[in-house]
Amino acid sequence: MDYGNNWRLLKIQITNILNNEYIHTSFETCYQHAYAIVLHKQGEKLYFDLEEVFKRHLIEKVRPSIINASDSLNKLIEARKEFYDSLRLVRDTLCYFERIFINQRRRHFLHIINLGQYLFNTEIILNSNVCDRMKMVMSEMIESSRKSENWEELKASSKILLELGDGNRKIYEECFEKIFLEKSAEFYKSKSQKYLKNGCEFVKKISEILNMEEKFFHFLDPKTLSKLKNILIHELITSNIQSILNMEHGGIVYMLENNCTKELNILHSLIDRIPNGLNFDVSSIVKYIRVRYSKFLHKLNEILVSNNFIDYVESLLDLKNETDIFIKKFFNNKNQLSVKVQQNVCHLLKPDPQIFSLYIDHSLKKNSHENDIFEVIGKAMDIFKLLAEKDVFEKFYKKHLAKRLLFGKTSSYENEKHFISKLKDECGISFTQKAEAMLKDIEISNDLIISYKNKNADKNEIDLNVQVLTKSYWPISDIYSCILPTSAEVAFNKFKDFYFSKHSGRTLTINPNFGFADLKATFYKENNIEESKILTVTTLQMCILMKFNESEFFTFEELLNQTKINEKDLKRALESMTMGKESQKVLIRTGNENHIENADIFSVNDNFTSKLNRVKIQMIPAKNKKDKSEENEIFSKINDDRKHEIEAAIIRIMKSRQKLIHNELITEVTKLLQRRFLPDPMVIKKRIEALIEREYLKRDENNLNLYHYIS
Amino acid sequence: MDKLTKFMKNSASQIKDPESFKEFYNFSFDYAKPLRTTGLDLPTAIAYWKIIFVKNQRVDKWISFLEKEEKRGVTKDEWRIFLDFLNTVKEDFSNYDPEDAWPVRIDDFVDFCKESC
Repeated sequence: MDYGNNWRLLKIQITNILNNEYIHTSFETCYQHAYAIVLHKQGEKLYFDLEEVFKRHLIEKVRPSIINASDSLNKLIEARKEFYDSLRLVRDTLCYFERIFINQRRRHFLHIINLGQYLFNTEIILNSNVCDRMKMVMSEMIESSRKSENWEELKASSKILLELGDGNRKIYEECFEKIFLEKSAEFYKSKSQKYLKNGCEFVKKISEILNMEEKFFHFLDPKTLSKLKNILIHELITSNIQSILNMEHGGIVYMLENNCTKELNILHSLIDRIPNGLNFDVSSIVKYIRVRYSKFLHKLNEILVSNNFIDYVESLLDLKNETDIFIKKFFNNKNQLSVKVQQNVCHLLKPDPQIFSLYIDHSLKKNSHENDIFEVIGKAMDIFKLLAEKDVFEKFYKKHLAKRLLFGKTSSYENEKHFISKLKDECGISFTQKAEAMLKDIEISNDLIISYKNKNADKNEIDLNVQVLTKSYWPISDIYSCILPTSAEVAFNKFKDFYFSKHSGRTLTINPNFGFADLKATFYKENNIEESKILTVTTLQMCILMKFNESEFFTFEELLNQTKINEKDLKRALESMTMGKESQKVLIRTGNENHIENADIFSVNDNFTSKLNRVKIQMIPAKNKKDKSEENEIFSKINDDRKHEIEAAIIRIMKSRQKLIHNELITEVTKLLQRRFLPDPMVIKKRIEALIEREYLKRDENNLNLYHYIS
Repeated sequence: MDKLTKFMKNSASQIKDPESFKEFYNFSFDYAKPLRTTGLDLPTAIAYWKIIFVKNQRVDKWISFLEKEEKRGVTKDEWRIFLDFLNTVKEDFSNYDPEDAWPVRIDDFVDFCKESC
C-alpha cells in the first residue's frame, strides 16, 4: 500500500470539499483509500495530515478572506458556516477512519468535526490578526452609528460577538465592549465640555443626554449596559458637579438668586444618581446664604454683644424660620448635597449656649408673663437642637435651676417638669437625671416640713423651713460652714433630730450660702421712739445682724473670728448692708476706703427708716466681679468634665477596638462626643498621653502611631 | 553620676548598635527614677540626657526648651518617644506631622524651634 498515493487522492478530495468545488472522486473510492490506510496502521499519519490540511486552509484561505472583507464580522459568520458544512462532508468521506481509528483512540484524538471546530476557533476566532480587524470594524461601526444615531447594525453585531465566544466573553469584551465604552466616554466628555459654560443650560442638556442614552442602549447586554451607565454618570455628572456648584454663570448660586427651581430640581435629580461619598465643597453656597441673610446675622451679632437674651432668642428663631423656608424650597432632598448644606446652615446659626440658658431661666421664672409657656419651650427646643456645646448649656441650666428652686423663683413645677421631659426626649436620661432629682428633693422637703410642723406645732419659737438637698445632685460647690446664732442653731438641731428619726445613715450640713430669714429689728431713735421693722435677709446676713444683740460694736476682724463666715462672703454681706442704697443701710461702717478692711468698725444704724414695714435687704448684685468669677468657675468645671468625658470615650473606643491608629482614634472620639460638644484634637491628644501614663493604653513597639488597649 | 559618665566614655563604642542603645536609653529612665513615683523630675532627666547624649546639638536645644517652659516632670512615654523623635524626624522638621501621635510636649518643642530659627 502506498500511503502517499492514497493520501494524495484523499487530500484533493478534502480540499475540494473545503473550497466548495466540484468533487471529482467518488465516495466509494475515498472510502477505500481511507480503509487501506487504516488497515496498514497509518491512521495516525492520516490524522495529522488531515489536521494540517485544515490548518492551512484556514490560515491561507479563510483568514485573509475575513480580514480583507469590508464586512468582516458577517464574513466570519459566513465562513464559519461554510467550514462547518464542509466538515460534515469530510467526516462522511472519512467515516471509516472516524469510526474505526478515532473512535478507538478517543482519549488522544478528536473527532473530525470537533477537530475542525477547535482549529477554527484557534486559527480564526482567537487569532490576533482577525481580532485586530474586528476591532477596527467595530470601531468604525460605533463611530458611524453615533453619527447617524442608528444603532441597529451595532445591535446585531454585538450580539454576534457575544455568541461567538460561546460562553466566553473575552472576544466580545476585546473587540466590542472595551472600544464602545471608551468611545462613549469620550463622547460624553466632549458633550459636557461643550455645555459647561452655563450651569442652567448644562443641567438641562445633560439630563436630556442621560435619558436618551439610556433609552438607546437598552438593547445592550446587561453587563455592558451597567458599565455604560456608570460611565455616563461619571463623565456627565460626577466630574462636573463641583464646577456647577462653583461657577458664576448659571451655577448654583445663580439658580438660587433667581429662583430657578426647575433647574435646581434637575440638578438634584442628577446628584441623586451619584454614588455616595462624594465630598461636596459647598463653600460658595454657604457664602451666598451668608449674604442673603446678612441682615439677620448682623442683628444677631449686635444683640449678642448687648446680652439681651430675649431679643437674641427671638432673632435666632426668626433667622431659623427664614433658613428653614430656604432649605425647604431648594435643598429638601435627601442627597448628600442637601445634607451638607443643611449641616452648614445649622453651623451658621450656632446659638450661644450661655445666653440661651439665660433665656430658659427667664422663661421659667415667676414674673415672665409668658402666656403659653409650652409654646415657648417648644420653640426653644428648636434652638436647643442647634447647640454645638450642649454640655455648657447643661451646666448653666442646672445652676439656674438650683437657684430657681431654692429661692422660690420658679413659675411652676409643672413647667419645670415639662421642660425636663423635652430635654429627655432630645438627649436621653443622663442629661436630665440630676435635674429630676433636684425637683424631687424639693417636693420631698416640702412634705417633710409639713409633717415636721404638724409634729412640733406648739414647741417652736422659730418658724423653720428646711429644704433637704441630696448633695450629689445639686450643682452646689464647697459649703463653707459658719457659726449660727443660738436660736437658729437650736431650731436646726430640733429638725435634725426629727430627720434622723426618719432616716438613718445620713448627715445633714447646713449650707449658709442659701436660704433667708425674717428678722424682727428694733431701731432706737432719738426721743426714745422705737421703730420696728421686719427685715428679710440672707442666712449670712442674719448671722451678722444677730451678733449685734451681744454687743454694740464689732470690727471686721472680730466678726470674722466670731461668725467664722468665709471672708469673701462676709465682706459681700457687710457691703450690702452698709454701702448700698440708703434704704438698705441697716448698719453703719467706720472706715475710709472703698472696700472693707480689717479694722473697720460696724454698728447698728439706728437712723434707719423705711416706709415699708417689711424690708428686703438685697445682696449686692455685683455684676462685674462675682458673676465673672462664678462664670469662670463654671467654665473650668466644664473643662474638667470634658476631660473626663473624653477619657471615658477613649477608653470605650479602645476597649472595643483593642488597637487603633492615632488619627482614627481622634475621629472616633470626635464622632462619639459631637452630640454634646466638639472636642479639640489637641485636648484629645493630651488625654491619650494621660491614659498612657496611667497604663490604660500603650503605644505599639514598632509603630508610634498605633495604640493598644491594656485590659 | 560620675560612674555613669565614666561608663559612657568607655563604652561609647560598645553602644553604637542602635538596638542596644535604645535598650540602654530606656533602661536609664527606670534607673534614674525613684521607686514610688511614676515620672522623672525635670532636673534629673536633663542631667541624664546630658550624660547620655554627649555633644548633641538637638538634645541641647531640647534641654534649653525644657528649661524655659513649666517645670513638669518627664513621663516614661515622653522619655521613650524622645529617642524615636531624634531618630526619625529630620533636623529641619520637614517630615514632622503634628497630626501624628507625638506627645504634646514634642509638638510644643517643634513650634519652639521653628519660632526661634
